[in-house]
Amino acid sequence: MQQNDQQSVFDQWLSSHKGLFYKVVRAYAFTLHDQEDLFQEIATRVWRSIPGFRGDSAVTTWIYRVALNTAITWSQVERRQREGKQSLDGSAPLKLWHSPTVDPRVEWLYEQIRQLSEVDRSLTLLLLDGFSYKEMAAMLGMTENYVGVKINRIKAHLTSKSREENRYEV
Amino acid sequence: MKFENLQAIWDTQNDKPVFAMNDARLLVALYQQRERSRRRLFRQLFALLYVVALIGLAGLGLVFFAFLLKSIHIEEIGRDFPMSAWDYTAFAVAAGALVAMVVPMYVARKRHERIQEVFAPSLREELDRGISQLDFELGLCSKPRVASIYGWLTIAVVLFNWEVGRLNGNYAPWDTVWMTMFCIVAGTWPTLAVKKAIDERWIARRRALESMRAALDEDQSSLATEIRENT
Repeated sequence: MQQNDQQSVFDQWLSSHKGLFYKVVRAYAFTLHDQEDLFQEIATRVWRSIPGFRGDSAVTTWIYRVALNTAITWSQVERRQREGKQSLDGSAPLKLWHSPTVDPRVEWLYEQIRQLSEVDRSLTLLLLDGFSYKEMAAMLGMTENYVGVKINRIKAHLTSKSREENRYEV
Repeated sequence: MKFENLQAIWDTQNDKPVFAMNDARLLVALYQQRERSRRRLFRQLFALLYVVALIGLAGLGLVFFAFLLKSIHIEEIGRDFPMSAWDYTAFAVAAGALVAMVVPMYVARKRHERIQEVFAPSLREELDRGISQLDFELGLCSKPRVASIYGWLTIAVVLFNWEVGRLNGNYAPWDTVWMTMFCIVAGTWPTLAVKKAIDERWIARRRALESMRAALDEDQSSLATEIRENT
C-alpha cells in the first residue's frame, strides 16, 4: 500500500470514528497528559495496522480491536512504571481534546468504567457500543461463555453503583 | 437504575458528541512546529550558506592579497609570474558568484519572514502561515533554485582553486579544475536524493495542513448552516 493511500485511509478513519478513539482514551487514561499520550499511541498503532486490514470485519471492529489492545498494553506498562512513584509533573498540559458539552452523567459513567479492571473496561466499552458477545470474544481472545459471565457481572456492578449514587436518573 | 438507562446515557455521546479538537491547543502546536521549522531552516540552510559565503570571501581575499604581494615582489622572488588582468577578473567573478549565491536567498528569506514572524491570531491564519512556510521551503528546494546555488558555488570554487594553483606557480592548473568539477558532479546525486526525500516529507506535511484547513472550512460551513436553520 502506498503511503499516500495509507494516509488517506487513516484520515478517513480518524474523522469518521473519532468518537471511538475518544471513548477508549477516556476509559483508559486518567490525566489529560496521559490521554494525549494514549491517543498518540493508538493513532500510531491504527496507522500501522492499515495495510493489514483486509475488510473481513467492519472498520469499527478493527479499530476497536487495535485501540483496546493498545490501551490495555499501554495501561499495564504505565502502571508498572508508576508503581511506587509519584508524578512530579504538576503542570496541567493544554488539552488536545475538550468537552464543549460536558454531561455529568457521561462523566460519571466514565469514572465507573475507569474503576474496572483493564479487560472489564474493554468489555464495557464494547457492550455499550453494541457489539455482540461473539464479536467481543473474537476481539479479546475469550470464549463467548466467559464474555457472558463477565458482562453479567459488569452490568450488575454498574447498576448497583448507580443505585448507590442514585443521582443520575435519565 | 437499570442497565438500559446507563446505555441511554452512554448513547447521548453519539447524538451530541462531547468531544472536539481543541482549536487553541492545535493553534499553539502548529505555531510551535512552524517556529521549529523556521529555526531549523535558518540553521541548516541559511546560516550554512552565509558561513560558506563568508569563508569563501575570506579565502578569496587571502589568496588575492598573497598573489598581490607576490606580484609586487616578483622580481625579488625571481621565479613564477605576477597577477594578470584575467586573475583580477577571476577573483572578482568568484567573489561575485558567492554574493550572487547568497543575496537572492537573503532577500527571499527577509520577504518571507515579514509575514512569518507574527503570531497568527486564528487557527485558519496559522494553517495558512504553516502552508506558506512549507511552500517557501519547497521553493528553496526547487530545481532552478538548487541549480542556481550549485552553479554559483561551482564557479566560485573552480575559480578559487584555479587561482590557488596559479599562486603556487602552476600557470594553467587544469588538474585542480577537473578535480573540483568531479567532486561537484559526484555530489549531485546525493544532493538530489536528499532533495527528493525532503520534498516528499514537506509535501506530506502540506497535505496534512490543507486537510485540516478543509476540515475547518467544513466545520464552519456546517455551523453556519446550523445557525441559519435555527434562526
